Amino acid sequence: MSSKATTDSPVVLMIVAGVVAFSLFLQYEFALKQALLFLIGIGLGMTLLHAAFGFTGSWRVFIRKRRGAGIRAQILLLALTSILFFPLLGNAFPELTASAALAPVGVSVFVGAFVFGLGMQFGNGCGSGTLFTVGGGHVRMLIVLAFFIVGATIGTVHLPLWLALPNIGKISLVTSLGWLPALLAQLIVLSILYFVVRIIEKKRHGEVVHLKGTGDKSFSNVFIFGPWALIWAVVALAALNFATLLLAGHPWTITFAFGLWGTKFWAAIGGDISQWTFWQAGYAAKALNSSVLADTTTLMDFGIVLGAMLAAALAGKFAPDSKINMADLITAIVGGLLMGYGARLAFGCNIGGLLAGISSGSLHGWLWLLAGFIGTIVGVRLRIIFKIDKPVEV
Amino acid sequence: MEHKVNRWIMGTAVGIAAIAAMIDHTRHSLPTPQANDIVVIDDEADASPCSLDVSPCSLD
Repeated sequence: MSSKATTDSPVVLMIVAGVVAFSLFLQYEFALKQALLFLIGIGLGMTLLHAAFGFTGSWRVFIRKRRGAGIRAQILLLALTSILFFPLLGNAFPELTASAALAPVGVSVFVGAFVFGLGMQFGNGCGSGTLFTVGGGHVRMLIVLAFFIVGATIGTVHLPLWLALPNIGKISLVTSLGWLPALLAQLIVLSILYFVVRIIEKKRHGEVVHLKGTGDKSFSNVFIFGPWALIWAVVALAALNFATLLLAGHPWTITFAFGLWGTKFWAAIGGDISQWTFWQAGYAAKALNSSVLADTTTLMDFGIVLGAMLAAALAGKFAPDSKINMADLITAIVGGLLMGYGARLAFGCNIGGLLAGISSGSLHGWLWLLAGFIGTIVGVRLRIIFKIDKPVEV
Repeated sequence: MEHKVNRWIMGTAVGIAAIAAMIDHTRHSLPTPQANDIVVIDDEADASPCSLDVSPCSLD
């Protein structure tokens, strides 16, 4: 059966029409930049779904089965994005300006990333993973997303308390070492990590899964209908992230918008947000008091969902059969809440905290990676204890 | 059957999100807000999610 034969044409047509109309609307109401950021989101969503590029499953598979293709792809993504980001953030091109994703290295990031890593094993999706699986039509992930928003909103209320806990401030490797030495140091560390993962996989299985993928379908067929090799996703995600940095002036982020949506909703139904200090200054205040469509993270999140929806419809995978039992419901709620709350404390999810942090040369990104992975190990153990997974992986 | 139900659920969710976004956008686009409701926003203030005062960067 060819890929084209299974394409969900009505859904494809509706999404394409919607994307064109919404892009024109954004250009008319705001500027071309808003429309382009939305379209970058579309590209991110298509990439994530076509390559099934997720952190949750790949981390779990590595911990349980010692299969490391997903993690190696993520390390390559970190390396490639760093190569693109460091010169720009280090003022190698003074005419181009952009903000690095810097955050204080401390208790808040450690606890937040740990909680996020734990939560993503219950939710079965990370920040980007939740959005692209929602786009793929997985109804359970809608529940995860709803409680992700609740958790992120609660996180914005509590963040000032967490920021009062010990931290050593923001540490930028780019500023401290200079962009070239910092980049070289980072690439060395990432190379070591890559080969450690590869050695572990080879030791267990005798061979490693290649990132290039295999198949006899033509390039155009695979490009449109998927599935993509992981290495394609690495290149596409790095390029689109770099385009975001150039256009929006900051790296690709996801979960700021979740807190924004939750707070706007709470205020719209009469909730009191006057004591929520997070929303009283800087970009957050501006975002809260502007149209939700003026927020770049919102536009890109919308784009990711619609892009994934388009890719799923093209591949004939949109809205697969699935029934939600009580265990699914509970894990979706718990996972969503933990991820939302953790992401706020950690200054971002696996994209805004981990990817953007490390690619910006911020030490908090590395702390995120450590704490998030520890949280994932605990989450994988808890999945076994709660009988979500079998004790022994075959 | 499940597939059809799921499609309807997803379509409804997208529709609700679109309506909510448009309501919010319209509220902020009203031309003459009440004087005591005006919120003064400093356009010169930090202009990206990576530059909040309380959490200066990576507001993802």
